[in-house]
Amino acid sequence: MTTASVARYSPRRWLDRRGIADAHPGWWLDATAGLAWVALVAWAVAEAAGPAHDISAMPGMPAVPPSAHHQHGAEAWGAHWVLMVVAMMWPLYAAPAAALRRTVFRRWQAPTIAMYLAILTVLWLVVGYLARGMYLLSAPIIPAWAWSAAWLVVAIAGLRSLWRARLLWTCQQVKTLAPCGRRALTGAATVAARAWPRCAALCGPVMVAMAAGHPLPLMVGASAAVWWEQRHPRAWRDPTPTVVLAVTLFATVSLSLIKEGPSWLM
Amino acid sequence: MAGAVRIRDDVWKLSVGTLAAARTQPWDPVLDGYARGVEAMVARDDALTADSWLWAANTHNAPPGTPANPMWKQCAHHKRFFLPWHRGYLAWFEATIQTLIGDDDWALPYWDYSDPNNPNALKVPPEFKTDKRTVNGVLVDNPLFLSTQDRPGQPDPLDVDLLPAMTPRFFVRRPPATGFGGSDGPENRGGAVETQPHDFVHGDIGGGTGFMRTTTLAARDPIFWLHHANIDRLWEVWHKLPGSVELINQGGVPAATVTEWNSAAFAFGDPGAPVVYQMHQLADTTADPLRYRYRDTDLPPNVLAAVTARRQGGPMGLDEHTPRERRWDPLAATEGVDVGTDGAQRALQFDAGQLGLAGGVPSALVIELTGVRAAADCHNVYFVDVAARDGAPTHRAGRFSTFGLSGTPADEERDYVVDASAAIPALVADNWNGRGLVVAVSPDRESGGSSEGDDGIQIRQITVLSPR
Repeated sequence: MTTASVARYSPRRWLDRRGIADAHPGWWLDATAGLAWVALVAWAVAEAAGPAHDISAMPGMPAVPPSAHHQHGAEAWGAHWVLMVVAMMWPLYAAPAAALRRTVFRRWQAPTIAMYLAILTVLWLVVGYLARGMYLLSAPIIPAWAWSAAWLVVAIAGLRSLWRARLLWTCQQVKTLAPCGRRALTGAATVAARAWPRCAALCGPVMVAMAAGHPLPLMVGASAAVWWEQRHPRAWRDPTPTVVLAVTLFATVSLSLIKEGPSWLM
Repeated sequence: MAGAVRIRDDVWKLSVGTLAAARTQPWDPVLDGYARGVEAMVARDDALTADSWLWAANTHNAPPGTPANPMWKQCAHHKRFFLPWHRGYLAWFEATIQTLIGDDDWALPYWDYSDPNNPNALKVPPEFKTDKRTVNGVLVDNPLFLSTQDRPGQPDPLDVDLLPAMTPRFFVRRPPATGFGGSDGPENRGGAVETQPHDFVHGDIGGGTGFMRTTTLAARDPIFWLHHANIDRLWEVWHKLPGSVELINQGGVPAATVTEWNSAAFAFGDPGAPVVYQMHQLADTTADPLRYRYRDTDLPPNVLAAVTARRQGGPMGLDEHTPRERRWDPLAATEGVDVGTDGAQRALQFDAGQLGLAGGVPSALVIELTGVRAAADCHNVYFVDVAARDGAPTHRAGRFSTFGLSGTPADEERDYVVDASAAIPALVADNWNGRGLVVAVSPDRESGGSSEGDDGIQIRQITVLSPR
């Protein structure tokens, strides 16, 4: 590579010309999601390899006794859940975030998108805690793998629903915001709140499946399914997400039955 | 299924020509087949089977309160899927007619209301206006007939001008611009051909009371299918024009948009055994399963020359022809504009700090009207005018059709874009300082639509944008 070509493609020149603040929101969301995935993997590996490792407290542990979660507490579980939301759900919001950015003045672009993402993340967190509470109540009789498997079955069944297919068509639509000020922020919050029922209906079952535990195969499979579906919203009864979720279901059940398997997989 | 490619003909080439002849003389086999097919579909309305007339109409859209059905209310308006969805919809409808009349070679005619060589082009063909027709020497009811209450109007010459529709080179554009078929964003934006002639012709034919003025009833009018066959034909016309670029061949379109487009499929009919058209099956109309082509896909020479000139001309506002779009920034916006019978006017002060415009006037101006609703009833067409300041002369920036807002649920919204760049010289002549703009929206009272008890339209936000 010549000096000239180095100069042409230097990040500094790119930033000078485009400005990193002007990057498409999808770039930021994908980058943030990538970091969240790194954190999730590191979390899983660290827990699996840690000297004071308590297998019953792991995110992916099957058949978790409720009392065993005292060590980590709700805060740690919540932090892990938020990481999951950032890693799995934020990439889905790239197109709406870009549309929001276009409707507001430049200095209000970042705050409005941040508000939009914050509301969605908080709502997912609320759902996470509610689902977690339901799981803990049922844990004495329902093992974690069964909880996850049941919700994956619900998700797979949902893929056949004609109404769900209709919902996908409007998944990315957003309403116009005020261009600046408090009304822009409240508008972004409203847009997020209005989008929320669609998010919950489309992605809720796979997220709730992870309320009992979130082993990497389950997170990866669920993410692959929802990302694929989001990229192909008008595909008619597309078999791909069904196959992905079916494989995920098989992996989740199988790994839970392998007592000696690598713990970070579970 | 393999078979010969069928020809979709202009209805006026098939017509007997006069109302009297339509009442007494035999019809062309294509129109006769259409009438028999519609009659057979209407006869199935009581059972409401998937091959009934109401089922076909409700697949497009249905009035509020209609029982829920996952195969109904599908119409894709103000979306980039407008053209392919309607192509599949027409194909399914055509196949239904073929089955009911037992003729696999039957092809849906189109209505070329823009034909400069046909003095009757704007008129509703007489086969659709006579209440009776003669079959085997017997005068019978005409299933293609609707009363003047349900079909009061006909296209206006201004609204069937094909130049605005054919000018865009690209199928989609980044908002606020729109291409021939729509935008590449998630917003509710109609493409050039959907805006005009499609939307305007719906309003012209529907007037204030007709089926065609609302998406919820339009497909109950037998002329609807010929109107949409013409819109489908215009897609083929545009496709043939030198320089036209379909969505999948454009540069600069988000990869997600291309993936979404290529993977799209459209399902019609019985939910248990739907007829599904994959996007790749809709690209070539002469191949299975469509097997049709249009008799005429050439633009009139004068329109072709005008389109060519505009495509070769310099950029002016949204007429810029590059797949790598420039960025448009909002300069000013106002919210909550209620437009009644007297119209509404707002003075918008530009946020000069955003772009540092204090030194001059913008090179182009676009006015977006987003989140437009009609609570109950509204006019079919609205004007958008601009002025340099309050009290200064107003200049016409553009107009838009409200097809899709009347008769639909109150939360049905549309976004409209008006390119006001052509008005900049007039604004400058009025000593415009470029630091603000007066935007006025008013109903076109000649356009038909509401005249009494007009609730007007509500605009969530009017935004003025300028290129960066």
